[in-house]
Amino acid sequence: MTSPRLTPECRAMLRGAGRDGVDRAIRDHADACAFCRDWLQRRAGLTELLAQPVKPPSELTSAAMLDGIRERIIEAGEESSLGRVLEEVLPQPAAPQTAQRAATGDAGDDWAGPALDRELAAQLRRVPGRAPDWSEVRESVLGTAARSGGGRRVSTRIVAGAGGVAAAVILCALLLSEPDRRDMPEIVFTDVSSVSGVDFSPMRVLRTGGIR
Amino acid sequence: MLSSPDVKFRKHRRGAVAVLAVLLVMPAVGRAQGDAGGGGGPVISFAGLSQMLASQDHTVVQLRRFFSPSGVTAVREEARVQANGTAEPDYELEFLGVEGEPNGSPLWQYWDQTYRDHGKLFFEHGLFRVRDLSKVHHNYVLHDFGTTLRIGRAVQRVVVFPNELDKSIWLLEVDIATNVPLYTAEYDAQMRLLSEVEAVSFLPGSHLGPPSGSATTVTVLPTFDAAQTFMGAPAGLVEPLEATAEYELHKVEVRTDPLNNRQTLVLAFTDGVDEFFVIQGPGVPDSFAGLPVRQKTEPSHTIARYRDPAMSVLLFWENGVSFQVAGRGSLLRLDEFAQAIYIQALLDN
Repeated sequence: MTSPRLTPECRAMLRGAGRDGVDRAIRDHADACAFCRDWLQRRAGLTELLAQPVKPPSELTSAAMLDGIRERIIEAGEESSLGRVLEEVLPQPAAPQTAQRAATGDAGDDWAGPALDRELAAQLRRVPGRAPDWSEVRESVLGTAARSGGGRRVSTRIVAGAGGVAAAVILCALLLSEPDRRDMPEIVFTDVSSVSGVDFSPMRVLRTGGIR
Repeated sequence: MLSSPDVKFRKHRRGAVAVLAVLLVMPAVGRAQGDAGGGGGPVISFAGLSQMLASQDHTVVQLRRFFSPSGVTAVREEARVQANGTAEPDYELEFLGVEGEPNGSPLWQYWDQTYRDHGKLFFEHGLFRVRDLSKVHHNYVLHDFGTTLRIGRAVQRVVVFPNELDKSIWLLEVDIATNVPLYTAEYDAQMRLLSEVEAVSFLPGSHLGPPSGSATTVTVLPTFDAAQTFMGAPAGLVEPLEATAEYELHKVEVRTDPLNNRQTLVLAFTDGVDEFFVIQGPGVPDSFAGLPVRQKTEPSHTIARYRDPAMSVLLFWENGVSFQVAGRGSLLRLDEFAQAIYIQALLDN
């Protein structure tokens, strides 16, 4: 089938279709030219189709598809330099076990120091959060003093003196003894982009043959 | 820094979804087995794979593929194994060539030298091995995916799946007659291919020639203390108190570099299949000494960390000893292990 021969009028119509001021001339030519008339009809039909929104396939809107896309985006972000920076600077959320350990008195697996006695820890947690009123304190002190009476003054002085001597002995012992535990050192991780400077790395040899 | 629990969970969930998707689309004949298989058909078991090296002589020519930023390099090697009833058979691993490279080219010479230096490493640590039969039952599950043919031999295709998703997943095609894996592919939880070894010819039986001198001397010792004595008891070596979770120390080696006679202690830990290494080199200067991270008033303690999907390498120095903790790229728990060793080294000095 041979293609129709386009006349100058056809070309003018094709160039000017849709422009203001030339529609009358286009209509006049389209009435006379079968090719241009068909072309205009197809153009109008395509315009209608393009104006309608295309409904995506149901597979693209499934939860599994969307989850996969989200996870890929998250993974790409986490593996990017921005993700590594955020991982370092953002505070770490406390693990659920941390609160449970705190409630039971366990210090956690990363604590290398001495652990607090469980009973003592439980007693400390039972200390009331509200400070007592001064009137309650005053009455308690006066009541204790009235019950003890003057006869206890001598024994009180002896007990106070012995306690002071014991405190002095303990203080001297602490000052003279060397600390048996150092503060836990702080370890900093620094990410590097290659291990080419390492003489021998078995994993690098196994994975790449040691290529630097 | 350790990954937050949320990130760790998210990564494990993604990995589990990916791997489960692969397993679900495999043929319905796939069935999981701890060690003994179901009725009918050949059975490949962890026990059989473990016994293979102790009892089966064989000669296999295989392609070992290395993945690097510049691409994939396939190296042809020949492994001749003579069983001696132990898990450490007599063997030779010979470099045959590089696929697509003419003999004598610079790349060919590089790999020839690499195999002279590290052939032992490729054979003992670069193939799928059941290193501890008791541990492998606790940490892995064997899935059977039917029979097929490879290089004209009937093989059983199996997947060795870890119970923890921060380890590698292994796809094996095991020769039914001899239990020798003829194809080994290692994947991470995101199904990225990390390593591949493919047999191109196989013969049951082998003949070993006279031992050829290796450039690097490797001495295997029974314990850390024996290795420390062998090295002349240098200061600063650390025996890790305990490995992370299901891993245990299973091999102690001392490597001697022929160029400078420098000795390096290599401790290998395993969970039955997977391995990671702790390498300690006394007499190595601290490469971090001049870095800006060092504070002026108080020295800071730094661990250099390199991680990609294939490998994790953590480096630090203390008291004249260089430390390196190296393992699979997905094994994030190595960060805690390296930190514990560093603290142990600091407190010991």
